[in-house]
Amino acid sequence: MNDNFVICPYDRNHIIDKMKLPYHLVKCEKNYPNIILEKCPYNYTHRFPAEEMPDHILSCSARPEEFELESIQKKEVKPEFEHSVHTINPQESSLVSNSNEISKNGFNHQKCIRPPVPCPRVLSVCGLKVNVQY
Amino acid sequence: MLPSGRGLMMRKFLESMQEQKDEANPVPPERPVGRGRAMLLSQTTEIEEGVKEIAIARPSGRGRSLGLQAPSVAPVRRTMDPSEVPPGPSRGGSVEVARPVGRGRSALFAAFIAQNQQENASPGKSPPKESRAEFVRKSPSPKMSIPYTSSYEPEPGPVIRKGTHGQMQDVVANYIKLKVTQGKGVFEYTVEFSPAEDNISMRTRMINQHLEALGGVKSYNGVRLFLSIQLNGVTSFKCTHPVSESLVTMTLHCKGPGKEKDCADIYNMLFRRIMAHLGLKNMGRKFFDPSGAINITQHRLEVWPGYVTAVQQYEGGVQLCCDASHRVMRTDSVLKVISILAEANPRNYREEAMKVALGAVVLTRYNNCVYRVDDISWDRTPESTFTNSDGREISFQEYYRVNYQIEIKDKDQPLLISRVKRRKDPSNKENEVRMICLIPELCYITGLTDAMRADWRIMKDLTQKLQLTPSQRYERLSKFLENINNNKQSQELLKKWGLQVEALPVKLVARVVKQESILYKDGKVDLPPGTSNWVVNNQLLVSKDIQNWAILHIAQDTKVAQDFESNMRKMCSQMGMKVYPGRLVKVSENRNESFLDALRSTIAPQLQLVVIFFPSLRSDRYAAIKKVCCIERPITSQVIQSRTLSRPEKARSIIKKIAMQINCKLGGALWGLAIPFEKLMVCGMDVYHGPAQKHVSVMGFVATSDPQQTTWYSRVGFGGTNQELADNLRVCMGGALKKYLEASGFYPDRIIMFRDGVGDGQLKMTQEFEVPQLLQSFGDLGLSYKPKLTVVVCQKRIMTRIFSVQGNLGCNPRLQNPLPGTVLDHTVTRHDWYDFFLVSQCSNRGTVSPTHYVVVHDDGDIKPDHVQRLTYKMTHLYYNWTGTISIPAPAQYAHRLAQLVGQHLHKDPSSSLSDKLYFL
Repeated sequence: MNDNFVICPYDRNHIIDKMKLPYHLVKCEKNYPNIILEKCPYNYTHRFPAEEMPDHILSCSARPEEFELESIQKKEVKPEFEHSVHTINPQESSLVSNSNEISKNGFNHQKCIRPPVPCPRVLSVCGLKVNVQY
Repeated sequence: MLPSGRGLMMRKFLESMQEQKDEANPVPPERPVGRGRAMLLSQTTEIEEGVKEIAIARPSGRGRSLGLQAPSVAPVRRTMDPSEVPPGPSRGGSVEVARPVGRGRSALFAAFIAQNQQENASPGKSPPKESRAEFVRKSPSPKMSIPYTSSYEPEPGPVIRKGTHGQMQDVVANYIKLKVTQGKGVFEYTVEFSPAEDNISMRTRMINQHLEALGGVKSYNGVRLFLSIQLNGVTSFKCTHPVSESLVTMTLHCKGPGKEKDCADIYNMLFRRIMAHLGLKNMGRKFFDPSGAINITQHRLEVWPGYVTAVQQYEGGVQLCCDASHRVMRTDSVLKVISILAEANPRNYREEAMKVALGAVVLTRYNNCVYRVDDISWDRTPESTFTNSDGREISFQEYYRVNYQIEIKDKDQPLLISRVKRRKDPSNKENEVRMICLIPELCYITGLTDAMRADWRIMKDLTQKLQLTPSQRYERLSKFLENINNNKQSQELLKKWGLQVEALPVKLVARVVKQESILYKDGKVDLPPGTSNWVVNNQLLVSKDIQNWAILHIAQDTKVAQDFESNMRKMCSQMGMKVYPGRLVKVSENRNESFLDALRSTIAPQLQLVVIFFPSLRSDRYAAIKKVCCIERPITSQVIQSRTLSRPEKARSIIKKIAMQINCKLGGALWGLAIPFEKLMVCGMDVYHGPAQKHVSVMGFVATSDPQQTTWYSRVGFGGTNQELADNLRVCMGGALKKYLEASGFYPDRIIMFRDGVGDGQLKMTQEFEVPQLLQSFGDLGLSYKPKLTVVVCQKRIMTRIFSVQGNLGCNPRLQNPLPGTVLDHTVTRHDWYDFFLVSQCSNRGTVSPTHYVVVHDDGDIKPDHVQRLTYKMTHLYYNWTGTISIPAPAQYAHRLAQLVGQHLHKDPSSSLSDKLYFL
């Protein structure tokens, strides 16, 4: 196993060759119609549940430099364990590099932190102001 | 073979059980093999009509016996009223015959339990066994008037989108219709064996036992069987198992006529065999004729003529597409090449030989295989030994003598080493790497070296042989068809499938769309029909003045630089550009560092443009300079090789072209066209794939930012190795829309995207992975914004050739290249796609190759005519060429951008340049 493999966001049993990820995502999206994942505006292969997307956008590695995030008030965050397995950024989480991030039961603790009170925020997505709803 | 061990005992026990059960129908004596075999045989007698077996998962081994003990998992059989059951196996979908497969004791035990259950379920019922005739054809019942089972669906019709605009033109395309004789064709069957046989080769061998009755030919992949004849309903055959020699019943269920796609696959295989019969050698996808080799003795080269064929499903049915091709071979063996080097430079010829051989693709003529040379082993000779497939130590010399009857003459030659990667096990992604030793004496380097390519004499002689005029190409095609139709063996093959190859390629009617008018600032120029190039004698559409500019040069180029500066001032005024005197900056030394230092000290905030004269073309210097000018200190830059301006008689026209290029780089536009849509945005996209070691692909994206299609916005994206599909299109399109709003004051209501670099297999992915990203970017601007999007994929490297027919369509027509603007959108276009062929460029030598356009997404109401004409218009707008090009300008701009970033910059260029064509 090396950096060329990533975990499918729809089914964490799927370990996918990075090159084949787009093909796999198209297939898995069809096969799991009940799992609705938001797509990262900066990279179509980054997929997360809607509530985790704002946090991902803040930390997305694919965000171009010119798109500064505006008017984001970082609220106090309360760690909360999300018992969902669809939280792994397929691009960044190769099995090796993420081994310290994913605990033994496979839940990704770092990525599951979210603000306690859902509130709409204005994010600059693709350089355009967009309301992000929780 | 005889059973042995515990399996034998168990089998005997089962047999005795069976004899008790159906005394009326004695089981024919059979000979099982081993333990598992005994179990399988016990199942033989259980094929009954009117008995359904619900499909279950097939466990095997010990687990299976456990599973069977639980009644819910055990195969549930229920007896049905015979009248309810059609004579064929019902293909309702969920019901499927699955025979338990197990091994060892547990399987036997499981079979035993299963049998007891059946006895309980259908006590005393023993349906009549089939007679032991070799060939049983069941008479179709009245219900089976349609011989096909319910899953048979007629194929969807082709996607036909035709335009009407333009002048009709008779053309010939390199497609050949395949006709099927009455009563023959391709028919699809499913095959069942009882007892079940898992081994595909065994199944194939059993089918082959009845091949005569099945029409003489078959195509079987282990699941689906294709025959050339139609057997109505269900047909059973008795076969002998090739190993155990036991009796196996094979049942064929006709599913109906094969789909056209399946037919194409079968015919493709058929044509590969025909090629072998015609004496053509297979290399990759192409077939070459060694006997027709043309020698170019003065360069020690050989050209093998060949063909590339493909059978595919088109709008006009299944057709054969065939094109003439060539392969260049060296007539010297690698040994000869090395010895020439050794003669010239006896001291360190090894180093030079390594340079020549490493990475070269060699052909071994004894088996016509190609290998890549990765190393030369100087310490080994043909007398060295290796372990062959039998595990025996054998010398290379002996190996070639025994296997190929080749006597190696030079006993002291080194060996070439080729690393062959092979995937040993599909589940294991790591490739197995094997080292293969090759004998230089038997290897011939294929293709041309860079040195040969640079030699214009060699290239001139080669292009004479390689470039075929339309009529020569047509001749080669007709000769190929003649060979097929005259060759006995290939005719026999074709006859078995009931196939007839027409003697002549298809004749079609294409359309030539109206020529465009080029718009300048001071008027428009109509292009006469048949031309694709023009001369710019007018004022440029949008000209940019150059007020503050600098020229960097080394001391020896001072005169060239001075002439250039004065010429620029003179000539640009004719085109409407005002050029003020430029500053000449002398670079102290002909070194990269000096150039960079001079460049950095020259670039100032007010400076518009920097021109750099290169004494010679060096890609490392070019990359360093472009990095400074595109990333570090963004500025418009123009690199000129001083040699290009050395001849004064040509200098004028070259300076004019450079001036036009500079105008584009500064954000100007050279010419325009009448655009029929009011708020249109045109985008282009291409991906650059770097060399395999660099692991990076660069996606270039360009989009117009005004309705006149004169200003261009650009972005790049980076992907992994050979990543063709872009994943950041949402950002790109979002940026392009924002720019459009800034420049024009409104968003476009119609967007056309030209996507280059997509192969046939990736069309679907473009549709399902890239188009949604574009649609999402529209959503980012609000729910009410829904522009009409059309995505067109451009394919340049295709086999299709179109020849226009002059005069009447006789048996020997006069053929020419089609005029620019020729559109072909029927019969030879894809069956499942909305597509067309367009010839936009003009080719004076050889055969012009049309570009294939596939509309993968279209939610606009644009007529095919409009898409075709707009595509043609877009081929006029590439500002680096005063004429039409073979792909739309946006796709070509995207290509240039991706290439510049992928080859030289390797980083995101500065966004301050994004609204200019800095990458030209």
